[in-house]
Amino acid sequence: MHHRSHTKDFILIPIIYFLLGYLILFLLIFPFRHTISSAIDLLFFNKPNSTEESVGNIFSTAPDISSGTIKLSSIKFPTYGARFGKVEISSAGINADLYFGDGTDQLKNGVGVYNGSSIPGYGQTTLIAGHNHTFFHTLGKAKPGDKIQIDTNYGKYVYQIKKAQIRNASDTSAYNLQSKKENLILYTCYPFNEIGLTAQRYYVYADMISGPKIDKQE
Amino acid sequence: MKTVNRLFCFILAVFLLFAAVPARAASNSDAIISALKSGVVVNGHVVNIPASYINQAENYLAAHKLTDEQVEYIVGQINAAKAAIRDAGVTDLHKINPTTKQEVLSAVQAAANEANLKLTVGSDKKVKIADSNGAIAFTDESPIKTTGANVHFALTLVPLSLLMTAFCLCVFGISKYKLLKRHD
Repeated sequence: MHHRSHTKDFILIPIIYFLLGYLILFLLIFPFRHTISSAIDLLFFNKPNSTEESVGNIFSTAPDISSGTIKLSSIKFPTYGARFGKVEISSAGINADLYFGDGTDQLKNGVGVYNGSSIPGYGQTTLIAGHNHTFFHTLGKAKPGDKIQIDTNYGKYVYQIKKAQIRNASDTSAYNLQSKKENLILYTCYPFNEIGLTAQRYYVYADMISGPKIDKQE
Repeated sequence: MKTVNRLFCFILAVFLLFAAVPARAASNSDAIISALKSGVVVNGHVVNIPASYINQAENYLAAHKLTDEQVEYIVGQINAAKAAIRDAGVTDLHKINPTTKQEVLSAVQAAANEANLKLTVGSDKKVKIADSNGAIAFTDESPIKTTGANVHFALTLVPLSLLMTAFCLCVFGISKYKLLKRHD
């Protein structure tokens, strides 16, 4: 009898308390789980990958081409995951490598062009994503009228910010991938200081001022 | 809506492989894009393919070239997929039957294989077409991504910490039990 009592007191009861404790803790933390896990990830795991080992790199410096037309056949078109340029918004202190593709690896190393949009110069929409806790943390400082410079492996582009908006992540009217006008959309999670999964996105819309157009027929 | 997207993906995949076909002439590429943009005509009703899917095909074709043989085979598979949809008379893709869906999927997979690409459907039901190196040619993920912190690694800490705590508690309980037993 005595032996059974000790088993209960020192093994079964601690285990039951342990399970109950974690259950209560889980219920309390559940609403904030993403924020907490994101914070841990940000602090301990979110180190950039090596560009060379994870993806291709076709950019070193941009050729001095900022106007006119260039043939599609004459440029090295980026494949998914390739680093092919950089984005600079001096008014917001943003200077990030530009990748083709917006997967996990690309957004750890810089900002990424959605491969269902178009690269600069294509005469359509360029949709670029960046994390709010790294490269696009200060995107909110970019104001209408400010310039965005994008250097690529085939030319230099300058855009002017038209407006900024906060929209729901599921709002498909926030972008138009069918547009036949050269335009740029940058976005990140909003609020900027919330590092979990947010329901809103901060969009910056800009029009092209200068840069070479890509002739798709050539 | 998911069914519609999935079907679009399948069709796109076929087109994509077809697109990969234009080995040399830019006009071949144009023909593929035109085919994508024209969608699928079913009983006079045009089912359009989303712009993001067409852009992905266009981008892939701009960076990759296929041989004429690959193009020819892929075009055949695209036509097969189109015919399956037309024969089923599907104007509302929500109501596509499983047999037709399977026919389209088979055609897309065959076309993907011909272009040395692989089509996979993930546990999240997302369709992805990628090459042997994992480079993505097409995905039906939302254009807008999660741009907060990446949580994948962090989540692995939770079960690990639970296991560690359980282990420590058991060790503690057993040592206490042995200690008391010795006193008894």
